[in-house]
Amino acid sequence: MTTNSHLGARDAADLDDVAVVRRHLLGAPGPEAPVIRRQVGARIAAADGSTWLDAASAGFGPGHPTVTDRLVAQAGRTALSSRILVSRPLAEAVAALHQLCPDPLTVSYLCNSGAEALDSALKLAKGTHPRRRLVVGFAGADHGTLLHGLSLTHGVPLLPDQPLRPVAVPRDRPDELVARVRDDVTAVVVAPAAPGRRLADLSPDWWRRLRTACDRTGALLVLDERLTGPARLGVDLAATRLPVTPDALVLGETLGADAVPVGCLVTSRATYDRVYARRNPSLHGSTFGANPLSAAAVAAVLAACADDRLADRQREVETLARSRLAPLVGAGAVTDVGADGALVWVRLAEPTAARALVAELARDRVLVRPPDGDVVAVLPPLTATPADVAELLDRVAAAGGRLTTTGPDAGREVRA
Amino acid sequence: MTSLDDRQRIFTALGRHWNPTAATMLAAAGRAVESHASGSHVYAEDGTAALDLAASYGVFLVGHGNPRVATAVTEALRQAPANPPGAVHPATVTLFRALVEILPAGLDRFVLGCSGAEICETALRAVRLARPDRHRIVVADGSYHGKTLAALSLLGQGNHRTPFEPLGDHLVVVPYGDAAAVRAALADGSGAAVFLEPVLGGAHLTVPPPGYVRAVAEACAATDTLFVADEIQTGFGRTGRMFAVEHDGVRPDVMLLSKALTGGFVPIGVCALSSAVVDDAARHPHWHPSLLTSGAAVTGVAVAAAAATIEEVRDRDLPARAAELGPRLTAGLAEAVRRHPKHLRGAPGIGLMTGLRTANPAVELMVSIGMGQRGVHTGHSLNEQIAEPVLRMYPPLTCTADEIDQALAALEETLTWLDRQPRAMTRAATALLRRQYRLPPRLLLRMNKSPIRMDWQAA
Repeated sequence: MTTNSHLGARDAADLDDVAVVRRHLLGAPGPEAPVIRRQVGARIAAADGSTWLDAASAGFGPGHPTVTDRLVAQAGRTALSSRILVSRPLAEAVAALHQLCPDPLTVSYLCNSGAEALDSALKLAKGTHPRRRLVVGFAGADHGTLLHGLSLTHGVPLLPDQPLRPVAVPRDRPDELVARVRDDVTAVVVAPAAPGRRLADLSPDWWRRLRTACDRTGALLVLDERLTGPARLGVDLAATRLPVTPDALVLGETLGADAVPVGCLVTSRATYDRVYARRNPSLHGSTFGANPLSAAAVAAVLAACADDRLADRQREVETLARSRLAPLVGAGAVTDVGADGALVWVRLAEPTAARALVAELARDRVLVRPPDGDVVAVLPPLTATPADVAELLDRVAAAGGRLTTTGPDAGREVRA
Repeated sequence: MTSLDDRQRIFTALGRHWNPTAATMLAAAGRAVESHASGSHVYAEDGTAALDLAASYGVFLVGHGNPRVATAVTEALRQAPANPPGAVHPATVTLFRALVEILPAGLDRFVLGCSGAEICETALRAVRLARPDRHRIVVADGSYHGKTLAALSLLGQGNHRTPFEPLGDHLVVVPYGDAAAVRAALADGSGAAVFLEPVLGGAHLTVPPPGYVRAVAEACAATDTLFVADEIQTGFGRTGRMFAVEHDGVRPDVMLLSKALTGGFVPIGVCALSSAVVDDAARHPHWHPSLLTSGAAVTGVAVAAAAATIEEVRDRDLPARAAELGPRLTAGLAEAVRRHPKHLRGAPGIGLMTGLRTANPAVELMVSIGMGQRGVHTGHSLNEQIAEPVLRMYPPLTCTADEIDQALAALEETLTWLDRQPRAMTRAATALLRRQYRLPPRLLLRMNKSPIRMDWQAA
């Protein structure tokens, strides 16, 4: 054990550790949060001896032997870099991303988070149409933690004069979104699926009409696959299930194996060149972006997705989730469940019930994200073992079954 | 050794699938393939080694592959790499305890991000939420606060902003080092915040006059304007103190930390805020906790690396080491300017944050190439638009006096060669550099006799 170990046995009580984080971190977890000792796949061994199942990270999953070995080896050679020399891992990563993404999406910009990658897509759009000041998306959709993504989520500009102002259309009015794509719009940002919204909810015809609107106006169609790609929906990318190809595709934390911060914008050479060709390459970039360790992570994760047939495994998660969770619908506070691959969610009769489910799950040692209104997402790592996924879904089913209907709308079937 | 076919495959991938212009420039420069790095040196697959004074503009503060940080990173990768929402990674606890001990008093609320740009955006949201009725943000000419779209709206470097403008009308740009200009900008009470690098970084590297940072902080306090200290380049000892604001005894309202914080292993950024700023922000009518929350991509490996790096900085008292070794380098650079004034304008520096102010971008490039040929990497600005760019030298604080002497010897040889070049030639070369992106890329490769075949032209 090294003197700087953070993972060994500690003298201080774990609650003190949680209290330190709660004292200093904005948006800190609750007082019952587990302190991590060890992680493999969905399994978290906590410092107090308890074992939790992770349905919150929504990533690749820690502890994959091949990926871990690759990261340890790369960290031992060079992790970040001055980038004066040529990076072999970067070449490998961008070639792998080219193999993953549909043509003509061939150019990858690696940065430090999915949020940064989404922002890079919007910067590309702003550079394409500098005079346009609007970006369109669905209200309430999660598009990351940077200013323009948050503005779309909240549906209002967070700064009175920010570079792009959001036009956030209600989620249940997709036709309105298409209609709003006019000549003043730089980009449209849509996630193909999300907790509470199925891939099938947006029809092929809708996607075609959106593509046509973007083609007509020149607005960039940005597909936010931070959550859905790679593999989560049971296919390499959700983009491969759509009848259209976006102008920019955004990937996020999964590519870093939950260990190395990374995000990626993939676009076409033509779209890229409209802003960045024949200009100083430092016009966009970051100190850390495209570093060798993150590139090694991208290459290793994509290789593991293929070698371990992780997309196939997520389809098995979908089948299991449907069988274990469907009986909950209508029997208590649960009004709907969804499963697109391992993008699993439960809709409750009301937000209070959703919060109650999260609390129940915490008591059952299941880690989930805070609810989004009346929806609780269940997002196991891609590499979670079938046994852990089954146990996780059993705990969700049990916790959901314990909830009784409350409030005037309880038990209401939300889906049309 | 990397075969030509292998090099060609790498360049083809980078040119077709990453950044075609950057790939062309790397090929034209004949850059080798990176192998590994250790201590103060970077090694290429062709067996060459270089003393790294570029250090990614300050990232490699504790050297490459620092053993203490490497151990923490490996342990985290093997045991607990992730940082799931709703859980606590123990390294976060260690990191926060350390930050509270070393940061100026009162900066004890943290938001984590994955880059300096991300946390600059965090700070921008915080100050606008905390001062909702104030429209303006004051920055210094030449300042750098990241290139994400909102961070871009704070940038004091016009050439990075121009292709994306308009970006908003909130920015007030004042000359760096001029406290009276800051006071004037804040006089009408419309300023939400001043974002300031305590030592101006980048190609504009400038050490301000003593008392400047204090004067800015006082001007902020007098007008209830928030003072955001961007210590992304200067933090953790680079300037000879743990933080550069300490030279003036200043306590900012917000401080930004990144670059060196993980010892060169993993991206991270920390926005440190006072409780007063957080409380003010939370009173905004549109307040929501998600507006000041950490990025989802911050990992357990990143916080473990950060905690270990701070331990390394403190245990080895690296700020003191920068203060001790810095004069050896800055004095050597000043002597080089005295001996070779033909193409040089000055040697700004404090601690081990140093550089050479060159007569023009061609001189910066030629010195950088000459140093590279002599086994020393320097921090070239890649900015051919400004008049007198500073070639930066930010060695690891763990470097030795002998390594500094080696760099100065290489510089003396390079400048002796450069003195034989006419000024008119460097001016003509600068004009060419400013047009280089308009030249046919294949011509660039041919001019540099590159053996790489350029097969990444757009269709």
